[in-house]
Amino acid sequence: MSGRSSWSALWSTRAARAAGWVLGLAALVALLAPLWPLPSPARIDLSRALRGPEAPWTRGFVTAPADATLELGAVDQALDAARRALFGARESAAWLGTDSKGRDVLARIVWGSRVSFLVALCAGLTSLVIGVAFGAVSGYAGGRVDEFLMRVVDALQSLPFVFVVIFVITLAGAWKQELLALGVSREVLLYVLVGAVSWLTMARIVRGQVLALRSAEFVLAARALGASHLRILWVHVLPSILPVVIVYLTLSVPSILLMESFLSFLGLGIEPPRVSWGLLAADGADALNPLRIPWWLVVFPAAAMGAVLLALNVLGDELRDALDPRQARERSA
Amino acid sequence: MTRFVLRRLAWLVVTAWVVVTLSFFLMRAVRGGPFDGERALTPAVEAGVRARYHLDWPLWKQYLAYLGPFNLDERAPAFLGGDGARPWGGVLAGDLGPSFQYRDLSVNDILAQSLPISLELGAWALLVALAVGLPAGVLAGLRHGTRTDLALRLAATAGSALPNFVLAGLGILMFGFVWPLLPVAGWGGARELVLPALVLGLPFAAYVARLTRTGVLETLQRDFVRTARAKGLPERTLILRHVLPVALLPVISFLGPAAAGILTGSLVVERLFAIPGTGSHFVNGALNRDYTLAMGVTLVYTLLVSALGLAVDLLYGWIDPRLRAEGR
Repeated sequence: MSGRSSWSALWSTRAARAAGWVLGLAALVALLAPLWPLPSPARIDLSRALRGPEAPWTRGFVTAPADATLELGAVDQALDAARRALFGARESAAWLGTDSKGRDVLARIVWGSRVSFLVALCAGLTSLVIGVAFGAVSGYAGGRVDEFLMRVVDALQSLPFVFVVIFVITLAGAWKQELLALGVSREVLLYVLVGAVSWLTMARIVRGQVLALRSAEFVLAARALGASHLRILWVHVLPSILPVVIVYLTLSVPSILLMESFLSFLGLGIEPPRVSWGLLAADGADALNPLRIPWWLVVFPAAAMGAVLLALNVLGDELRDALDPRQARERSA
Repeated sequence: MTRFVLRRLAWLVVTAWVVVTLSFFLMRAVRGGPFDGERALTPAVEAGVRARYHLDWPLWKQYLAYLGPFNLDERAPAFLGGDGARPWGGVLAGDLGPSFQYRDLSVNDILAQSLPISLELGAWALLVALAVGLPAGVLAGLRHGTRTDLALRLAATAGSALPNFVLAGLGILMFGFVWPLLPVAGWGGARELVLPALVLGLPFAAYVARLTRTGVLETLQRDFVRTARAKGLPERTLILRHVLPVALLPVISFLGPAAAGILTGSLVVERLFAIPGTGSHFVNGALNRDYTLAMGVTLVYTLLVSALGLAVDLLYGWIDPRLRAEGR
């Protein structure tokens, strides 16, 4: 593919542009979370439990009570200091309501997006490493090795992965102390596990691409010059399939995001006091009862999640079409 | 064809064996055994418990007993030194062992109670996926480019983007509380089935609709359709007899992944709607470290999903004449 033309074609689609804006905005909001004048997402105040949303124009900002702040890294502390300089002790009123423990829903959505995006990113990178390595070896080696490795992928494809992941998380619960001593928290385990079950499509795609390039002239030339196999793969083959890899990484992110929220929803993923979108959805579903209908706990997290997932799907589809215009024409014919 | 089936079955056996073996050793490697965290037992009771679950055997013997197909305790078949009262045992004999959480039940008992419920829910969800997805996809394909098409496509994109637990929350909110039409929990009657089946099936309906629409559009451009039109075939007959059978092929191959996805999604939906299916038990087992239950469900679902996948492939080969001729 010629890079420039397909990227500009992509950008010219209105849907892709809208999706790009949504994702950019979501990423910015999540990344700069400590900068926004929001209440702490972990502050429990039962006297303010289950307050309905108040529009920002009826009650904009309130004075924040002095309370224990979150544990933050160095960059986040700087952002937090910037927030204090900008907004002082003011914080937003409960624009999107509060949950059953009096925590601010908007703050939880913003901080939850941080965790969800982080998991998606880390798990995506894990799947990228495994998938590219597996696919590249399979395609480059060819023959029997290729046949065997692809059969393994086929066999793995038939596993119901969510069950396997949950089973492993169950077992890991017994080694919690040992794993923590190694620096592996449940969250890190989640990155690795979700990534470790999401690489199959990537491996197939990379394998196909490498197989096609294996006997390309520039590879043969490199081999004739005595380059090692590893060097050929790393320096010559992989850079030329990078665009394809990036596109399929984008396509795999929504399903990874989904798996994280799925596990957190079941109580097997992110653990409180951290918050992720799956936990928010679970809180919302748990809070519903016939006497009191805190709809804001269901609707707002759903809207945030729906918007981001929809944008990711649209962008992924458009990226794929930009990469392969022939198929795109068939699809939308 | 036979070779294809045999090879698939062989790989299935290998996969299942790897799953069983890995999980057995992982389970046994877990420190303190399955009763870790219980209140302290007297040595005598602990010895009794260990003997009951054969935790006092050497590891290789535990593994062989777990794998089967022969029972290895004092009631083993005669050639293994027992009295032959209970010759079979282990996974190969279909015995998934005792549940650690529900002390009086075996994993088999739990599956026998709960699997029919999960399968019924899954079957209804699949029906929803097809009953909603197929007509919507055909309509969008035939009305290609119109507002109907656009609206259906938007709905399908949104439907496949929203996870089922978010959909479930919205559904419970709308039809359970704001406009109380349907019960939001429980199992048994037809009314209890409606919301969970819809929530579980609709995301797949969206995908089926997308596949069907593409299939219809592609088929409509084929030469045989033009020929049929030129011969003056009524549009209705043309669509039903000539276009649909070809257009629906991709949908058939999607049935396998869809069934797998529905079984997975049923974990969340069963929890939300308090349905006593296998998914609920699995999640409870996982949260309570009931390793044998978690392992048994994982194994059964692996086999189920693989069998469904194989069945769909066979169905596909049987329906598509080109594959039949090749014989694969």
